[in-house]
Amino acid sequence: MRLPYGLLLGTLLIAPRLPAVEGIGLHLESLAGAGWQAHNVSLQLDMPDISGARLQINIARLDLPEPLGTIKNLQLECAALQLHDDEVKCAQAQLQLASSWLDRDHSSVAFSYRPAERALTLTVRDARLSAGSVSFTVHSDAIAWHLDYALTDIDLARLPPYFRQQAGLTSLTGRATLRGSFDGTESRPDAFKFDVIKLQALAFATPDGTNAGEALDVQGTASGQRHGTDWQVQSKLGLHDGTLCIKTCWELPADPLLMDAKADWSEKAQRLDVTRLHFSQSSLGQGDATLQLLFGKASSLRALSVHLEPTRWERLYGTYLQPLLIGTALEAMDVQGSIAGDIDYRAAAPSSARLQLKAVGLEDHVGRFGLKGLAGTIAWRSDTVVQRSELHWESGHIYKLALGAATVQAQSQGESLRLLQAVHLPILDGQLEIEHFALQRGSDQPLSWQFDGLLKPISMQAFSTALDWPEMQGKLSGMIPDVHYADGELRIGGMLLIRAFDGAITVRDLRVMRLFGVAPSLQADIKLDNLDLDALTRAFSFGSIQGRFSGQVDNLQLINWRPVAFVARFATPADDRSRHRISQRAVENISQIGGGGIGGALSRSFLRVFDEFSYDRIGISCTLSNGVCTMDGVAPAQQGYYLVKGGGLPRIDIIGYAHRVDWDTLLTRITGVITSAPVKQ
Amino acid sequence: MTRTRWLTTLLSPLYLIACVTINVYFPAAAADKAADRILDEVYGKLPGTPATKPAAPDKSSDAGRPVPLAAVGIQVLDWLISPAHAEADISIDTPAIRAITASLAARKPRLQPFYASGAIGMSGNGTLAVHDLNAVPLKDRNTLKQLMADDNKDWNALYHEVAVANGHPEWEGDIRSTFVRRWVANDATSGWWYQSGGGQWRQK
Repeated sequence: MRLPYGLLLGTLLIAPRLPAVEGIGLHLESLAGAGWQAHNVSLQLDMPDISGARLQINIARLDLPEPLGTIKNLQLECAALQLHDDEVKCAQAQLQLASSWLDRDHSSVAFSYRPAERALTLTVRDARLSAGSVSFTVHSDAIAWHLDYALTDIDLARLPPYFRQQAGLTSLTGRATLRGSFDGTESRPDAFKFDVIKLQALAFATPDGTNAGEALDVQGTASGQRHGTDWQVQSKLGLHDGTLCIKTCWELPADPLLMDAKADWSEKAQRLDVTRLHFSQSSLGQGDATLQLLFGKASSLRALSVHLEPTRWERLYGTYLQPLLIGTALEAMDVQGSIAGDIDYRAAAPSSARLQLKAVGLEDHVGRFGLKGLAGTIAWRSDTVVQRSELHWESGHIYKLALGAATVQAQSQGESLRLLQAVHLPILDGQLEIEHFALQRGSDQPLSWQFDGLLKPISMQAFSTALDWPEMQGKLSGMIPDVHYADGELRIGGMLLIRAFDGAITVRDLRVMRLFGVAPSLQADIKLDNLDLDALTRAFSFGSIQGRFSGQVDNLQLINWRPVAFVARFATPADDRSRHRISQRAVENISQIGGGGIGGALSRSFLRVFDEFSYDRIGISCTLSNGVCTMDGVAPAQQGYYLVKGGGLPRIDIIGYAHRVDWDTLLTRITGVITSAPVKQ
Repeated sequence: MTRTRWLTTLLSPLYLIACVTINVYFPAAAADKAADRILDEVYGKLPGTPATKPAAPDKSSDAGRPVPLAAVGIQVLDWLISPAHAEADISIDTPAIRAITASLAARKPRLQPFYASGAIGMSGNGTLAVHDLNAVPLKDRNTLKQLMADDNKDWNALYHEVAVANGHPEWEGDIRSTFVRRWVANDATSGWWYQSGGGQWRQK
């Protein structure tokens, strides 16, 4: 470290040897060295006696390399300069200067110079810098130099812009206390030590704002040694409170995330290799990691390997993972349990993962899905090496469909996954058997999966209750040969069969779009074949109707699981030979649903003496569109249509007149009729 | 249109021989109206505010494109019927579109400050994009990320549904650019940001 003091001090050393000199005055217009320039330098040395002297140095303007910048009106005054043969020394000098980053313009300085060893020692005490204070001692000789420093409570916002510019930041605020030392030869440091690093309310931002911090607290130590152009660094840091953004933002908890790291910095490659990083957080757990970061133009995370000891999943998800999962189905969950494992990241993409789950619970905030008692191992690699995973859960749900305990054994190879054995998934009181499940995800195509399923009977009572539909009877079952999911759309290729009311209900072409997205949309075609009306009407406490019933619902569309469109038609099958009877109560209910005054008319007329009537055909059709049901019956009637066409004795006709009925009103009437019904017969 | 229909009927034998492919062109004017209706609902045009500017007829959208013809020599018909095309209407009255529009409208008040501060803007494909992250306090970053993720799911679903509801999934791209154009013209408040065709940010 070449210091400008050298020349001036050299002059001082010659002075005592000059005979009978009482004072020396020196004035230089300018004085320059590598990276610095001084203008109007004057030196005044007064020597009233041989051992003591008074030194005064004035520099009008001193241009130093960044970050020091320009210093004006520098005055160094030593009242008691000791001049010895082998040493010049000043124990107490006053330094006065004006600089943009110094708060107080004078500080206390001590120095000594031993020409034989070319040893200079300079101490500056308590210089007021950026609202804090700086003290340092620098010692240099012919070979090496050593600097001890203490920066106390520095306001980072008031530092010269040089510091944040060097760090590539547009803003840097907070308070810093740093203590330690530097060792070096020539102008290069060979080693550094931060015995104390204390950063409070640290805030920073990069120009595009993607990397930023706010209200962070950092405490720790660091040290480094130079090997050629490279550095080896050790550091222990604790990070807590505030918000840290590295593309994604994390709110840091109050208990510090402690990191003990060893790293190599390659100046040439602008690369930081963190060869060992042990991290721990009392409320979370602990683990180890290695990573490789590139700086400069190609700045990126090149590689990351994390080994996680059993960790509180709740904290890991809540603090660290949730912000990364925004925009996915897992973005908002309540979670419990513990998770451990290894995750690798290479060349800007995840390359492998092996996770052990224990008693994990997941519950979607908006109730779309949930799993409890999830345990097992998930293993995956991006290359072609086959990995096996096994998961078991105690219970769960998809929307309001309750799922029972199940075990999944799967094998993954790169971006594809298949089941090793069939999964038996209990749904409500039935079971879905899943076979040949296969999942793919290409680099250019979205996730897709398909399976063949067999649905073992689920009671319609449980199913309808789960979906908040009117309670129904019967069983839901069927072969589901091709369940396919791609690009947010679930398609069921086969046919769902519902055995109910002594007949069959089949569901075909079932498609669900945006299953977990906005306004899930379901489409299907439904066929009803030869249902027993007696069983059906009893189930819905509708009054009694005897006979058979067939029909279909085409182009059924549900949005948010509510019907918004369909073309429905139900009627007595043409070839039905069964007994056709309808009770007075059913007649009244049909009339009420139709909205007409027929029911009242009936109860007022002589017809009320009959408990039941005979009919030929019964039927209704409704085309739902834009909230309006366009209604029709089994046959046209004068100004209306027959809902019930009489036949035999006592005969009754029910004629509907309303062709367009508001769907919500109709639904209210139907549920009103069903719920106001007396106890089931 | 009536003339076209008459001629189409008269010339149908010729059509059969010549195998003309009648293309239904993207109905630019109708799409403008449809976009305006949806955007007004989302961005809440209050009664009394100036009415939506009438959509400028987009000549390029129907006149500029060649008619794919399955057989050679059919050009002789062109003097009889200007290139065979039909301009469809754009229907947006489906339950799915209504539900998605309502979802966008419900979220809009929470996004308003981010539009206003210049943090976000409308990208060229009709979804929200970050314009200036520095305008977002760090504590609001994840909230914004969530709102944008939700909103963009809705926008993507909306464009898809509008295209599908009109029986032309291939119109999705045209529908997106229509929405962006109408948004910039009518719904963006002065000072809000959008991405021009070339991807550069511009301020209204």
